Amino acid sequence: MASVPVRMVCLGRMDRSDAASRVMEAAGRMGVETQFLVDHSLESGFDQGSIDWRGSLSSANWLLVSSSSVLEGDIMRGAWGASLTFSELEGSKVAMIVSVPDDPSKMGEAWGFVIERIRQISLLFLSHRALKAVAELEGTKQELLIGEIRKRGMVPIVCSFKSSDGIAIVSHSLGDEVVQVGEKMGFDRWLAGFLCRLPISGPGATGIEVAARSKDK
Amino acid sequence: MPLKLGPAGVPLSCKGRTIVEGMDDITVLGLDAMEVQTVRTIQPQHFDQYWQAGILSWKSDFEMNMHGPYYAELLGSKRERNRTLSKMETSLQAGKIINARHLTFHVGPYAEYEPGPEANEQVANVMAGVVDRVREVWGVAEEEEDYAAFPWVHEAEPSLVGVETSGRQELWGTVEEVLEVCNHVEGTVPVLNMGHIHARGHGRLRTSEDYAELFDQARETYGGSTFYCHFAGVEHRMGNALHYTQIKKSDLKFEPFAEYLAEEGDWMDITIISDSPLLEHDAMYMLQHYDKARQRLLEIRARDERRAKLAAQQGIDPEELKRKEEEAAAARKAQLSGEAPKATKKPAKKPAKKPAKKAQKSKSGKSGGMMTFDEGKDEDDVF
Repeated sequence: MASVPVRMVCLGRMDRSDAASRVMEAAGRMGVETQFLVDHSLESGFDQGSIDWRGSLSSANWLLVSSSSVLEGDIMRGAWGASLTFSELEGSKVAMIVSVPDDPSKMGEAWGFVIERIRQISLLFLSHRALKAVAELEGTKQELLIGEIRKRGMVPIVCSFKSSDGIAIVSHSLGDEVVQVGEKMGFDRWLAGFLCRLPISGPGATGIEVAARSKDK
Repeated sequence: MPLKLGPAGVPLSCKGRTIVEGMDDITVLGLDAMEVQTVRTIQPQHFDQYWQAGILSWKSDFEMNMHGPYYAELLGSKRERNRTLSKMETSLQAGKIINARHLTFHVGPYAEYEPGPEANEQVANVMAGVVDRVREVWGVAEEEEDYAAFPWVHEAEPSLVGVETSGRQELWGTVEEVLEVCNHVEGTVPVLNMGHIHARGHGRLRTSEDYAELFDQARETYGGSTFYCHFAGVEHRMGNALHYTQIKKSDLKFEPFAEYLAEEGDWMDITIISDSPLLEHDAMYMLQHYDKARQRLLEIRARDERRAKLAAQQGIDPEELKRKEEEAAAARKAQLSGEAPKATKKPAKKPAKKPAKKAQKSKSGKSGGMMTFDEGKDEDDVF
């Protein structure tokens, strides 16, 4: 596959079982230059101090992070916060993937951490299950949630993808798009394609729609 | 002028994630305020942190503040309003425990209301109720023994209820609306979110005069001198805030605000909270600019005083002395810039050896390649 002129960095679990890592792997298959901040082969455990944040993030278009990573102990929590700050400083955009954690009772805690850092997030993706859970937590209707989060949190792009129907919902500062992708696929494939296309699909609402509709998946 | 600065939340650089650890870090950075975010439902385990933070703020001169729910719908249906009020109740209870000086609340969309007196009256009624509720929960005489370890509950003034400006056209909260409500409801304070005001006013805050105009408007309509402000860079379009950015990346600059505060802010008691994506970094950036503005002002004042003294000694008008000084400075400048070759010749006359060498080198440089290297070296020396 032809390479895509986009570079992505991911802070995910070592075993690549989290949502951000899945999206990253899908992006890798599309020809994107990818880098996992937590090395697959680390045996002695993850050490936040060993990450070269500046070097890794300085030329990256996206930093991919999962909301559930913040629940995985103090070291990961520290790395999670640091990644958002360094990303802001280095100019790469943060794509936060909100999914229901392994222990669903911790959804509130994970969402609380996301809300605390909402100003540092450029693209917020909510999985279909997370959409339900967050709507319940916020006491709002599921169909209004995406637009509400964007308006209140001032996040440039908030989106979700319904895998069973192949429908993407994207709310951005210039409007809302409901895009029928025309193909059933996992959220990871759709989001990877969306992130790959966004930096090169041109400005404005049309650019966002083109990226969301992208067939290069 | 009492000015307090701090971030909205635990600093990003803080290794721990508790409020008390955040307060420690903020103090180390030379800042003295913090706004705790209660944007999500407050869990019972948070209250332990809140007590500790309250005690620390009471014993030190650290100002704690609290931000209420983002999802406010005070102008919505009865059900929506009650849902918002129940979230606000949690925030004001937490505010008491944390010794919050200000509680900041959004109002939310206009919903069925048209912008105007009717909507403002409704907001004023709700806010009056919130102020009453804050006063009810603070300093209940029967609870004095229960709260013996937390003296601020009985000794300090209850939190002020902040009404925040909004950054979007469809949300209640223009400066005029906020000031009008705060003028009518005692115990409230306007929360001037400069990013929101700038965005909603199509980029209206550009010079220190713009800030002067804003605070003059506040002084005339609201009358108070206590202000609570939020500051962050903002991207905006068509009068709507799109999202927050670092201050350096935005067209909303802090320098003019710092200049205004240093020059004309003596009458104000102001707290500025950084809600930029670079929380404490931008709070420190603001502090540095405020210090610079004050320093510059002090220098100007010292120069004016010196001039007045000199003028008195010489028996002339200070303005005339100022004119003379300016003329002398201009002449000096002209001499330096217009007659640069003279300036290089002048020192050449005093140390007789160097220019002589130079002259020799430049002459011999034409004939011998070896000397061109030396010529270059001398050129470097000149600069």
